[in-house]
Amino acid sequence: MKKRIAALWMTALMVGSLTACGGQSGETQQDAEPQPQEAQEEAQQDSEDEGKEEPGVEETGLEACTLTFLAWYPQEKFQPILDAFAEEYPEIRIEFQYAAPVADYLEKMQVLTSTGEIPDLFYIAAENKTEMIENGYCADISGTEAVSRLVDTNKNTYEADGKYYGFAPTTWVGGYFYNKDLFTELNIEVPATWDEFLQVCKTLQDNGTRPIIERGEWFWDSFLGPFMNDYLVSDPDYHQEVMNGTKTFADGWGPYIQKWYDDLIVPGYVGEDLVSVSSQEFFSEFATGNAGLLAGHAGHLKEVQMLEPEFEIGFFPMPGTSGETKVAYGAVDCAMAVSSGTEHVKEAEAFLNFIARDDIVQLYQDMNGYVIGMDGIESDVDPVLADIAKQYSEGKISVYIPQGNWGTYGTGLQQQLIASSQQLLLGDIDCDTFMEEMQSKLEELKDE
Amino acid sequence: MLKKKRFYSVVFQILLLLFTLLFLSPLIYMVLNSFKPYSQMLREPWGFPKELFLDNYVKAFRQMDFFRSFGNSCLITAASVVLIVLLGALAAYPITRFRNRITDFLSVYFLIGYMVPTQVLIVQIFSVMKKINLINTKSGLILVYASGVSFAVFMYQGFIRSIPIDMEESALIDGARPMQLFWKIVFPLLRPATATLVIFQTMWIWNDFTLSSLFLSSRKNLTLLLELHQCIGEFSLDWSVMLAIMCIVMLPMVIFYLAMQKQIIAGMTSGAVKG
Amino acid sequence: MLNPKFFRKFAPFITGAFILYTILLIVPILLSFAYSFTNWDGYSPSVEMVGVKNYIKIFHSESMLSALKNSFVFCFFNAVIITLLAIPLSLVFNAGFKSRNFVRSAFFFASVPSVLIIGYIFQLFFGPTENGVINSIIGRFGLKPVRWLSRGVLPMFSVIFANVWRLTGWHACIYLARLQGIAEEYYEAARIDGASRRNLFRYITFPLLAPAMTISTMLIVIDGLKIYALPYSLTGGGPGYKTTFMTQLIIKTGIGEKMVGRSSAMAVVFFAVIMVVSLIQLYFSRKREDDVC
Repeated sequence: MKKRIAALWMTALMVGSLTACGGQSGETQQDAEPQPQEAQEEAQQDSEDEGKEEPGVEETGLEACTLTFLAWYPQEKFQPILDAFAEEYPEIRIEFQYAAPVADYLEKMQVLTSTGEIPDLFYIAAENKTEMIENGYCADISGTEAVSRLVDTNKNTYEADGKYYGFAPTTWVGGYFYNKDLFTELNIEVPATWDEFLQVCKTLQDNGTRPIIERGEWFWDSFLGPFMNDYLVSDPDYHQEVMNGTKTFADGWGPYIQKWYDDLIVPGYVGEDLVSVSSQEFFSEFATGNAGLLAGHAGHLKEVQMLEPEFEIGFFPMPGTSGETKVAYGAVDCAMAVSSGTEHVKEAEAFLNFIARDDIVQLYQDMNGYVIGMDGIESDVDPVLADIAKQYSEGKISVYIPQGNWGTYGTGLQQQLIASSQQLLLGDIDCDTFMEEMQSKLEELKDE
Repeated sequence: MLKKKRFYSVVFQILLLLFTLLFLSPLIYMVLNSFKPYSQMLREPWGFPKELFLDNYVKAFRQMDFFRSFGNSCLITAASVVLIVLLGALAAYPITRFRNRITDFLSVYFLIGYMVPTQVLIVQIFSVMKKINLINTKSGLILVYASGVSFAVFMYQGFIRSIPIDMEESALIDGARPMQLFWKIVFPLLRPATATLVIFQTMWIWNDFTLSSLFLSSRKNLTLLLELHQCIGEFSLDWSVMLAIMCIVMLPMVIFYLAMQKQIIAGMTSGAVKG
Repeated sequence: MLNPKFFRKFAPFITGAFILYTILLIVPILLSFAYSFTNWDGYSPSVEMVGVKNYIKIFHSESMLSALKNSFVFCFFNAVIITLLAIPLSLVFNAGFKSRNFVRSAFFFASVPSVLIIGYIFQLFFGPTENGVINSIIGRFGLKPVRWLSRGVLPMFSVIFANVWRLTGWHACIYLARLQGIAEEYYEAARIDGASRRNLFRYITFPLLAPAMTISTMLIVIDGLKIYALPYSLTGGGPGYKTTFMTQLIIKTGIGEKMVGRSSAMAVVFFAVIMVVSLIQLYFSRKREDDVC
């Protein structure tokens, strides 16, 4: 018997090693083809591109090397960009690594930083940017072409003491996707105010449709509409003051959490079962027409479309109590950063500059579907989201998510927000306790 | 009378088979739906595929670097299991056969390892690994798995205790050296326990995610189970492709299990139970 | 008994396992112990000693107490239910009927896939909406969807259920192995004395299963306390803290809240708890074994 097992292993190993080079070769090559005209213009602006005709090592001043890159997006999605880069800079090899965001990514990054094993290129996000920057793990990339092309919001998100540490070319903007056919059938108008929104929920519920679908960790986002548009616009430094201790969660959030509870949870528009909705049901409830509204953004839209829903999809941002929407649910996406300890600064920066190129950033945008936050570049977003993307690009609306404002306490407070909001929805605690728990978690984290 | 008994036996077997199918329904669900388009999976989770639909598998194979990761999984699992078995058996032998203060201490010392949840030690293990320069290498991960020899030591101890000592004593009188004695006489006797251990450890190492995801980064080193996670994005996953990948990840273990099936129960009889 | 001097000759036997195990498992445990007296956040290069502050904090922390409670509740019910199901199942496995090999394999098979995969599949099964797999089936009988992963004690139940599903067949095999080792003579003698089937089980089978029970319960208890991947993929620890177990809390505190010092203190306390629990459990099992045999 033992012989047989050994034989089994041996064959398995041999099969494995013989065919090890078989997988993963040239896919989606044609997507990656740079548009010639733009590329030429680019070549004039960007000295690094001069080596294009003869990608010789001396001409570009770049050394042949391998850059390790811990990415936030799966390789399958990133591949077109990597292919284009390999064609342009054959001397620089990108060793692509991936950990699934957010929890696995943060865990991996923390273990890597705590032992000094930092990849040359990596992503920083709202959840870890403060400690990554403050502890000096990110190189100052203020001088790069890539950063200089960003619009102010995208640039400033990863700024500290006047220096820039992250290159975040895109921003996601979210709100509610709705079932257009159902809206027509029930004669529902797209809501512009909170009261109209509640009316929409009521009509959907009376029809036997679930008004809102959202995942168990994020369902609290439906309180943001009134908070952002009514309160935050007049007190933009609110979170900063909460962090300083001059204001509390109860001051700003309190009334809006209470309002959300009374208006959406009590009537059951936000159902108790949302706390355990899996990502699969999140999409399928909406795609099968069981739910009228789905709270989300471009990334979610792509997933819903994959399910081939038999209706047309519309979109509206989260409304405040007054008419106009000035702040939308959204955030500057995570940013690529260069390790301060890398031996290949120039090459790593060349990678960022490459992504900042007009044609390549379009590939980046194809990958996530978000809005490009770079001067003079139009985003090719899904038509459903075209309107809101335009408003954002023209600076008519700004974006907000809570955890982006909490600095180093981001993940801790976010864990608390998820747990407490779930308890609130299940009726285990009330709104005041919710706010107290947030506040005491903040004190606890600050105390450390 | 006999007929009646026979009738009951048939009814009992049918009921039992039905219950077994019900019991297996999660796995049936997984395999069944991996052969369906996502939209059909949603609308009729238990319906049969309308045609032979292999798209999910085609996509899965395109997304995952199957052969390389399969090779990695095999190598890592095999090497770790071999190390665990050899080191575990070697260490257990003197600990069991010579009872004194040192071996009593060692017996407890090795048991501690099994009681500690390794997930909570990852940062610490990682710093040690960094010191000895074994990060992001397969051999590093193999050593980390092999450091879980405690269970092997524990299991072999129980088993060695149950085999008579006479043979070893007479071999010693004949002047055999300890190592010789162990490999020639003792180790072959441990076979049933070894079989159980191999199965036990293979299943856990093949299926481990926590340790492998932290100690391996480069795509070229990833194991099959890690490839599964390479396909999960920030918001969601394409469930039907995921199910196909899950089936692919599971299949080698199914084959292993079918090959070892007889050994499992036989091994447990003699090995584990006497612990 | 062999010559004790002989032990020196056996040093090479132990060295390999000892070194590997010490460096990669014991040293990390000691490091945890060291970290537990600091305020390290996992990122910053500078670390301060804070004495026993972390220990004082965690004993006043509600989340720690609730996670500890959850771990115990899970561990207890998991152990009891698996044992209660595995013993009768092993009797079925041991009965002589044609399809028994298939049935044995089928039940054992549940332990073959990765726990993560099982968590994901059960997440689909326990989905709270009408599209959830179980709910869509009971919906056909006109029943309302059940909120498996949110209502009352159901989340804990669901995690226990998934784990029982996974391990019962496995543990039944441990008992089966023992059953096959029980000599037929015992039964024959008892049958001659006119013992009923129930009494056969009660006075012969069950007591003789004691050694199998020792190993099986020890494995269930330790593995139960160590559980991590299953709740992580099935419930994510929620809703609220209903299925947050110690292992997850330690990782959440260390990684999410960036308090590696405090999470190390939790880990140290938890190691001690596991050790005490398993030693007590081992002591009683062994005692019972001695009593019955």
